[in-house]
Amino acid sequence: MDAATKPIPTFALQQLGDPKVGVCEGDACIVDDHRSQAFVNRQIDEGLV
Amino acid sequence: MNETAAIANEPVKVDIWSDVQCPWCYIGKRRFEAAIESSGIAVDIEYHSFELAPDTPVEYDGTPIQFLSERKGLPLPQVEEMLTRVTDIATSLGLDYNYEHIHQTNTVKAHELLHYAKAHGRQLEMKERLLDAYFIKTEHVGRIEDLADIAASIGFDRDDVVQVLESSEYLPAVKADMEVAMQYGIQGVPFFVIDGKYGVSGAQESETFANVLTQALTERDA
Repeated sequence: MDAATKPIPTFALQQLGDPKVGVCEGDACIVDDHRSQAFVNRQIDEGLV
Repeated sequence: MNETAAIANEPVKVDIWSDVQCPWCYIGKRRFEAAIESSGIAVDIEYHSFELAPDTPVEYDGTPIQFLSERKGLPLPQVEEMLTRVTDIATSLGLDYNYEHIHQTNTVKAHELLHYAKAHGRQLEMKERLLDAYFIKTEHVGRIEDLADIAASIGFDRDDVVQVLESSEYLPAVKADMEVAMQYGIQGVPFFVIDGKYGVSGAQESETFANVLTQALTERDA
């Protein structure tokens, strides 16, 4: 699923905190220095979850 | 006490999406606990299920290092290096992850057990026990019999746990949590939802968590 086709989350949240922290997505647990907060606004990739 | 004052005095509701085999979730848990202590803010915590790798077999014969190497097609040394950073951070918080002996597995039954514990008013205790089981004691958290042993170790009725897990009674609750995660757009864990309004992703520093809790309280009072 690409960004253009990902549904918008039903529940909107105000994002707080540092977006560059450790998080696990799918089978990868990383610290991504280039992470943006945009990921919390994307739909879960059903292939990973 | 008027209604506004009553709301202001209510604990901050914190919903946390997390998986038992998520190293950042245990780190985030410790940091969040430190934030609660340092801020003195009362919270009401509820954990929710998030399956990071639901297609993992229960009886995967290997460690997370081997699992990640196979999944990502990465050389073992590269995976080990990737995990070293998270392990070092965990150690700094008093969590001695033992990746050489951890049992990679499917966590859906562990999530069902967390919902069972929640129904008995002991979810937080079970969450801590399961994270400790997986990362530090390297117990198996995928098999029903092993989970029943873990539950019994903290005083749950072992036979009842086996029956509940075999019947998948709490599987719908696990799936419901995943559905809400989708509605929030959650892609990774740990993920904290504060008072149903604020989203905080990842294992933030405890100071950051404390600031978020303070902000939530302040804006509630505004």
